[in-house]
Amino acid sequence: MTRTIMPFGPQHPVLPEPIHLDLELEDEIVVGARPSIGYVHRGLEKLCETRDYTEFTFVAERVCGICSFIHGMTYCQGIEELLGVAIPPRAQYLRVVWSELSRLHSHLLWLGLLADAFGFEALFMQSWRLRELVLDCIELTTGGRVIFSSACPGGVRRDVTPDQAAFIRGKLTELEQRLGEIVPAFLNDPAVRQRLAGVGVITRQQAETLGAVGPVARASGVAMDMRTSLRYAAYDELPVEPIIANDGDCLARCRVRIGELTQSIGLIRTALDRLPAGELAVKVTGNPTGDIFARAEQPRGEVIYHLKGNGTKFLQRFRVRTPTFANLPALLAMLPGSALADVPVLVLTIDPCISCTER
Amino acid sequence: MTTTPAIEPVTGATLTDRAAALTRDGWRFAQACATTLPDGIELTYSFARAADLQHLRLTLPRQEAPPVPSLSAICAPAFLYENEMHDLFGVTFSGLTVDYGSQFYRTAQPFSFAPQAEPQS
Repeated sequence: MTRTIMPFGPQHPVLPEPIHLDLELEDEIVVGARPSIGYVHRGLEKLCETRDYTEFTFVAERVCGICSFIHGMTYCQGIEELLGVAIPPRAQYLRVVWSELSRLHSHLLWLGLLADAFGFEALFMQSWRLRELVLDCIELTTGGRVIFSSACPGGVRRDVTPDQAAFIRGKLTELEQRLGEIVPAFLNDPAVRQRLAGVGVITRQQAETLGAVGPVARASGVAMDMRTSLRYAAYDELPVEPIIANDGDCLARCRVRIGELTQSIGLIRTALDRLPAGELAVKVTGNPTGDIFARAEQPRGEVIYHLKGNGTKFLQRFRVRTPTFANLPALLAMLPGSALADVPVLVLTIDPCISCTER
Repeated sequence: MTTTPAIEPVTGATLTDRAAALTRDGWRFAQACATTLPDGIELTYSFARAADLQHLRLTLPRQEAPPVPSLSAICAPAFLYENEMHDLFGVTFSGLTVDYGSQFYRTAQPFSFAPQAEPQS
C-alpha cells in the first residue's frame, strides 16, 4: 500500500477559501490530516492599536466577507457592555433583521458551494440565484450587499422604512416558494444522497468533546445556539429554537442549514411585524476599560470576541475566535478513513471561512 | 450578548487542575487567547456553560517564560489554540498532544504578536 502526503489547498478548484491541509493518504483513503493557516492572515487584530474603538467597528466587519454584519454587531455589543450602554429597542430588532438576512445569504451561498463540490452545477446556480433575493433586501435597506456597516456602538446607523419592510416581505415570500423547488434536490435526490448520507459522521459525543459549534454541532444532536442560550439583541422576544439533526453526517449538516433558512425567514417576518418605534441609536461616550467577552450566533456558529480596554480610545486587545476555528478539530476528526474524493465535500460541510479564521 | 467576565488568576502549577475541575463540572472549553502586556504575556482560557463564561488567566514574564502546561489532554480542542499561541506569540507549551511545530500558523514574520517582534523593514 502506497502512503503519500498530498497538499490540499490553499489554492484548490473546490475551495472557496484558502485552507491548507496536508493529507496523508494510503492509496485513495485519508489516514491523517495536518492543517496550516496564515495564507490570508491580515493582522486585523493588531489594527486595534491604531484605530479608535468607534472606527474599529469597520475593521471588525471586515473580519469576514460573508457574515460581516454579525461581526460588527458582536463587536458593538462588547463595546456597549464595556461602556454600560443600553441600545434602543428598535435597534435591537433591526439587528435581528440584518443578522437573519446575513444568515440567509450565507446559508444559500453555502448550499451553492456544496452543490458545486459534488458536481451539481444547476443546483449551484439555482442556490446562488435565490441568494440574490436576499442581497436585494440588504442592498435596498443599507446600500451595500455584503459589507454594509449598519451596526455602530450604541445601536444601528440605518432604519428600515415601511416600504422597505414590504419589499423584504415580498422577497421572502418569493424565496420561500422557490426554496421549495431546490430543497428536495438536496435532501432526496439519490445522487446527492449518495455523496452526503453517512459521509463524515461526527457523533454527538465527538462534537461535544471536540468543541464543535453551530450547524456542525447541531447536526450531531447538540442543541447549542447562542440565540437561545444568550437571547441577545431582540432574540429574547422572538420565537427561536435550535434546529437539530442526529445523524451527524454531511446530509444532516445540510438538513440543519436548510431548516435554518426557513427559521430565519420566519424570524425576519416576526421582527418586522413587531418592529418598535423609536430611536436608532444612543450616543456613546467615554473610553472602554476592562475585559469583556461578547458572543453571538453567526451562520457558522458561536463567535467569541475578547475586547480589552485600557481607558484610552484604543483597545489594548481585540481577539476574535471564529466558529470555523472551533470546528477545525471536528473536521480533522472526520477526515481519517474518508475517500480522497469526499474531502472537498467534508471540508465544505463545516462551511469554512478561512479569512475569518486567520484574521 | 456579553458576559462580564469572572476571571480567576492561576499559575502554571494550578492551571491544569482548575481546567480539569471546570470540565468535570460541565463547563465547555470555549477558547484560549494571548495578550501582550508591557511586562509580559497574559493567557486567558475561557469555559462556557449555557449563558455563562468563566476564565482562567495565567500571566507570563516577558523574558525566559517557563513552558505552560498544555490543556490539550483535558480539553481536546485546546491543542489548536495552543499551537496558535505558540506560532503568533512564541508561548511554549509542555505536554501538547498535537504539536504542529511552528507550522500551523504560517506568517511571513514568525511570532508576529510576540513582545519582542519588530516590524518588517
